[in-house]
Amino acid sequence: MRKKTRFLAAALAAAMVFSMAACGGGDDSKGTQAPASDNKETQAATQGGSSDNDKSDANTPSGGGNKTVTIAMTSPWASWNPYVDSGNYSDIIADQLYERLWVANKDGTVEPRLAESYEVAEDHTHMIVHLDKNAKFHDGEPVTADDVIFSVQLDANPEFNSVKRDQLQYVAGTTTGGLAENGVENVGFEKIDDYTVKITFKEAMNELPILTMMNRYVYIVPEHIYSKYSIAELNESETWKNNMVGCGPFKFDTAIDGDRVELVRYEDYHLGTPDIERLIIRVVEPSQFLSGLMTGEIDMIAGAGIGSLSLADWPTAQAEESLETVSTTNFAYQTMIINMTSEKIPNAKCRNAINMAINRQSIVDNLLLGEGTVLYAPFSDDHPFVDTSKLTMPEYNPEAAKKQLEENGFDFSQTLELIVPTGNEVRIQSTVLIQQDLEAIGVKTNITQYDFPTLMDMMKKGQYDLGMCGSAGAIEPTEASGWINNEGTTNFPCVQDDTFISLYNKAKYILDLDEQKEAYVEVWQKLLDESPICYLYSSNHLLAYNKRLSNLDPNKFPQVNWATWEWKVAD
Amino acid sequence: MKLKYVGKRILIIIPTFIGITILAYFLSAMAPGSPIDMILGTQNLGPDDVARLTKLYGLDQPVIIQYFNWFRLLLQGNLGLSYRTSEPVLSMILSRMGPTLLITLTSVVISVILSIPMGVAAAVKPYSAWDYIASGISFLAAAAPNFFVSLILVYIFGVRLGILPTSGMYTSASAKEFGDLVRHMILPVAVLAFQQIGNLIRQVRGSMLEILQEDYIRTAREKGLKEGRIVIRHGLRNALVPVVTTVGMNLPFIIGGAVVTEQIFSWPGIGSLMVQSINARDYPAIMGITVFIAVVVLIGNLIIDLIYGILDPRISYK
Repeated sequence: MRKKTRFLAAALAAAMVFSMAACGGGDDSKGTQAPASDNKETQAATQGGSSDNDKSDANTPSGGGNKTVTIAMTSPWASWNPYVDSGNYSDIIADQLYERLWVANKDGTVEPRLAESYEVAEDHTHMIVHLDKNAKFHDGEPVTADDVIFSVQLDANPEFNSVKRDQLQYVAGTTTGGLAENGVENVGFEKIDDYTVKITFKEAMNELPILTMMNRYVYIVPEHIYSKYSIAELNESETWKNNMVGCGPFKFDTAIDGDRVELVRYEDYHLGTPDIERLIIRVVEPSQFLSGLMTGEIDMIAGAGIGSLSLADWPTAQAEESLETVSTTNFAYQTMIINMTSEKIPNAKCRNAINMAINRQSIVDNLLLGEGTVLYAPFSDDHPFVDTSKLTMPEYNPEAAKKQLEENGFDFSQTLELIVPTGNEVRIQSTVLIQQDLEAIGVKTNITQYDFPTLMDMMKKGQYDLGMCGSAGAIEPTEASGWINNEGTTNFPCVQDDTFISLYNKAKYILDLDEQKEAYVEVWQKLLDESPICYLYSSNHLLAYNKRLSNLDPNKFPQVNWATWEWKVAD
Repeated sequence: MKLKYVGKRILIIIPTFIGITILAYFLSAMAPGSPIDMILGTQNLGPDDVARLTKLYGLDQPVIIQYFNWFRLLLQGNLGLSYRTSEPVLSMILSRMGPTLLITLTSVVISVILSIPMGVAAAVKPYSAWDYIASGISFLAAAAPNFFVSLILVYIFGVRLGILPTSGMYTSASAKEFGDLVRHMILPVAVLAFQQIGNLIRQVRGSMLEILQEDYIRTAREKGLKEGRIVIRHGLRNALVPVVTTVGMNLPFIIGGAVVTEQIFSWPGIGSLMVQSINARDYPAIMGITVFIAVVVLIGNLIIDLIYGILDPRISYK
């Protein structure tokens, strides 16, 4: 007995994911969705009510002429190997060239890419994924289960330089870091037939982490091309550059290192031929974003955490007639981490008091000019998988904070070392506001700026009291678990025991999604009470694009999902 | 004599070069922050992966062993693979060197071409209108920060007039038209040339003023030679020695790239590669760029010393 789920592009809401899995097996009809043709109509209707989204229509790009679109991001991609860079700069390019099985949106909806549908076993130990039979690589070869399995086995291969494999951590046969435990052939991806793959979980679990996290960056690459190379050769960027064959909406055309990548549309893309003929992804200094948009040299700012207009430029961009501006919320967040081994901050009550002393609203109002959200946890109130209403937040209360410090042995004569990475001006300014907030309750701090590698090193070694750090965040509720894992490689607060991570581990394998939500509330309340990390704010991505572009959904961008084949471009 | 001098200089260059590599390698290694941390970012990979990468890149070895391993590869002409990009460092440097040389060398040539006549005119008629104009331009160029001039030019020629592109090398990398490249070069080259002109005008003016007071210039005048011939043939040639020195001192800039200008105009040169490599603690790339700059500067300085002798016969080599 299984439930079958056919993706409804952008319409499979979080509640649906929850309810289907929560209802579990025993009812075949619950998960069965519309046939493929209906699927596309639903997609069109959901994304703006226009039939423009329909594949048949997208196959005939509107008009001719100049269909080149130039998008600006702030830094260059690191490598042509889509698995080797931990930043979104490479991923946004890989998103055009390669494909993932599916992508999750920030509201919890899941969109199909290569996977047309999936079924979760009644006992929740595995899922069956059906691939889109229309999908082809850029060289015309069909995308099959062999390619999916090859890609996953490559990602999990201990000799392969992947930094994305932690997303395989729920798959059988992998370590908690996603490495193949007993050979890549024992990683839990199995071919059922040419277009069907079975994914075996480590233990019975709901599919939420698989849907939201595991396939975020697992790019499907052609086995018939890359299996010819040794792992050592595949660790070199040149091998990928010389064999750039994916199955994404765009094909590689040319590039200038450190400057730009130019792609041309893939006519046979299985979700519809892009209207854009040539897509140029360029590196542009952020101070030149606005002038580039105004002169027409660039058509859009990348978003996705790799390009956002500055607050200083925002009003001008909004007033510019040729531009459309969008301020989007996203999962990225800024924090102030408290060193749990610092003798100056002796206990959880003191950490919690410091957390309470920060006026987050002031940061959002004065520094972000309202273009952001106050955070107390690494997710906003509208997070689809966490019920924040059940959490008691450490809201701003300087009087209570001071009293709590006095009652819990805090030494007001000492000075706390507050470190902040260079680069992000708003974060640096927010550090000054935090210093003033703490000064107001009698806590003295000394701010020092370091470059990011130095700051990471100091945090890992516990050579600080308070440290500012940000994360790109993710929809998956365990995203921030690495920072409070005492055995993790990013244990910035220097957590000494498994208090937090054991709660996380307990929560993530709970089958019932409502029960799981409750378990996450327990995790987060513990984190809020102990306050190893003070979550501060999330800055909106300030996007602007030329009005010649239409039918794009910036709300998808934070998940590195431009969905470029859906865009329309006027001549 | 000159060959012997060159030989002696090369013998000095070799230990200097090795010293530079030792200093650069050990200083890089001493900087806090691990390249592995930067490769992984905030990804939650397991300790196994961290240990594997540490071993793969030889970072589990003592720094001195790491240095010798690197130097051994260098002697084979191999600058290693970048930690950050997994690309051969040599090819990364070569791909960025061209764009950098294109704007820096062009700016040097333009600044020399513009500043020599301005400096000479100012020196020939000191305290004249020409002198005040040249000095004014010189002070303005020396005082105006690069980024400020860049933003002004972008605003005027890009945003207001809309006649010049404000970033990148080409409109389309697939076409790579020469005219398009030249248009993209104009603003960054103008900024870099303007930056150098300030110093060069002052050098030429000061040097020419001094030379024009020399006895042999007075003798030439008394012999009835035309003033233009005196200034250009007898004065300017000797006055160029400090100009050549200034250009020589700019060699690291010419090779290393103009970081700020490259950043503002999104020019894909060696300067921006250097910044990215340092931020990522990409030791092979940092060392590769350092080696490249060191070699060019050391050899460049030797060539400049030889040019002195051509310009001023009184200079001898011992």
